[in-house]
Amino acid sequence: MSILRSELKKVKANFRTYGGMIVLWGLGVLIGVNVWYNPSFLPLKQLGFRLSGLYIPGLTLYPLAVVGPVVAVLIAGESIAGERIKGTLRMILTRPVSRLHIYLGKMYLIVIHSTFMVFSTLGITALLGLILFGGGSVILPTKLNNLSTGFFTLTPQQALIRLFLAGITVSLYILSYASIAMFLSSFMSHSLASPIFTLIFTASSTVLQNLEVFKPISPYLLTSHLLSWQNFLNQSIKWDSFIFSLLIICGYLLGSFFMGIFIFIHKDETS
Amino acid sequence: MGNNGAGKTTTIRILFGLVSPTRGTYQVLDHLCPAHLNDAKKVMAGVIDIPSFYDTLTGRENLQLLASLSDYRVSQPELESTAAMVGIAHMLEKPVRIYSNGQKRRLSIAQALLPRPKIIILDEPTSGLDPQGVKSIRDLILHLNTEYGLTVFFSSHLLSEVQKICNRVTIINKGKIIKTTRVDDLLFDSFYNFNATPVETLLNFFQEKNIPHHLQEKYVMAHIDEKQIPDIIRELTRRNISIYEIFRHQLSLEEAFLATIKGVEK
Repeated sequence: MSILRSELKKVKANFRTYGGMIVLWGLGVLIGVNVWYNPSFLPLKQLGFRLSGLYIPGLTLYPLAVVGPVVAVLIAGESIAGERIKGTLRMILTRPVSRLHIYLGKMYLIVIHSTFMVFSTLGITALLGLILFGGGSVILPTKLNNLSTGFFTLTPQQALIRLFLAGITVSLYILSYASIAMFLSSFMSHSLASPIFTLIFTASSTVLQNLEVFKPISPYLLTSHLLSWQNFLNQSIKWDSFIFSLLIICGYLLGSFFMGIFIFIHKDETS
Repeated sequence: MGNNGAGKTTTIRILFGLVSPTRGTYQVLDHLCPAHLNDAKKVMAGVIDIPSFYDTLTGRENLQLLASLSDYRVSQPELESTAAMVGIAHMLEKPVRIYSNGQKRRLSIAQALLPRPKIIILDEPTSGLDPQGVKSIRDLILHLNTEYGLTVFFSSHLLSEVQKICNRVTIINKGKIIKTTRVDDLLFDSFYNFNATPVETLLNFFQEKNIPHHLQEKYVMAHIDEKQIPDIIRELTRRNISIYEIFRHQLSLEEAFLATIKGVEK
């Protein structure tokens, strides 16, 4: 707990912690305001359906899944390598705290940060949506992006549960990137090296998943599961496909987490 | 004490577990390390290399944060008295980014003191400081030892600093301990100057007897015990060496250090 408290103290004093969150909140607000000023933006409105305020947080899930990992990677990538460069890691390591606990403390913080980033954005946009459009049931196309297949209705309670599950999925997706960045940070000696390599990994993965020759491995690439949260916006949730996505996401998350711990515990700190 | 690259900082890094020893163990008070490293870190604290802090936090916040990692709940009066003792009480509320090098050194000693360790380990505590800063840190170390009974273990290649502060010194070279002794004993080690001719024969004699020695201007300085002197005089006389004077050489720490290193390298 002392590690987590000290990590919280550090990030509270760091402007970068808020920067990413402010960008995401801002994006959410912009989406809400855009729908308010330009209702024709939504095909549903064109079809004469009444918009529910809970539609707005649903629309912010995509920017969250795209921008969220970048924000988390910047923070996680700096967490160890940044301290190594500044020399503060040496200071921490002279204290009677095991390296495992130091790593766990930093990971807890990333979990808290990423989850808070996702749910605070969903909360803010839900509040904005309710102010702009009011509550009520959420009407969604049976198949996303295909209005010809018909529509289904979610009660506000159902919509909130599905938003919560989608939020958890997006948080896990973000955390898997953060975990990769932490793993790289555990042995790199430049605060930007880890975020850059994580972003290179993401870009490469995106390219590979679109190459015909790599189709067999495509389902196992992390980037292929960017939209796994969309499962919860379908009329019937495809649990088998969702669980597969969850396994892949958690595989990356836990794999890089354990590798990061192993390296951090055994690495000589000579810088 | 040791030359650059002798292994001073590496030794301290090993003590704190930053670097794993390739083999062997070490003991800090009752704690056998690396197996009980965390227990050892509860009785020692220190500063390795140049002190680094969280620049956006104030001195007070840095001290609180680092003390909390030792599971030490520091009270405000205690924190303030420690800061006053190291001379940075007036800087506590200011962010560390505006601290001078000397103030950072003092803050680093304060953070090491706060968990109330029994041993403080400092890695070249005066490096990068101006003469006034060097003196104040030196005085602070002596104060911690004399007033609080703390053991201060520090590395240095500044011999004048070691001479002024230390009771005991360990000389290391290329990662190996050469000698551990009281500083006084090192300074009063038995070195004798011989003024005798022919010098070459004298040098050959010491060489033959395997006595560490070296030529310094007109004297041959030899590392011998006082009790050996009568025998040496007899032997030199037998070899027709004219002895003009023999006197004990008062070593400076620098000479003692160099002689020790040289003796080992030979």
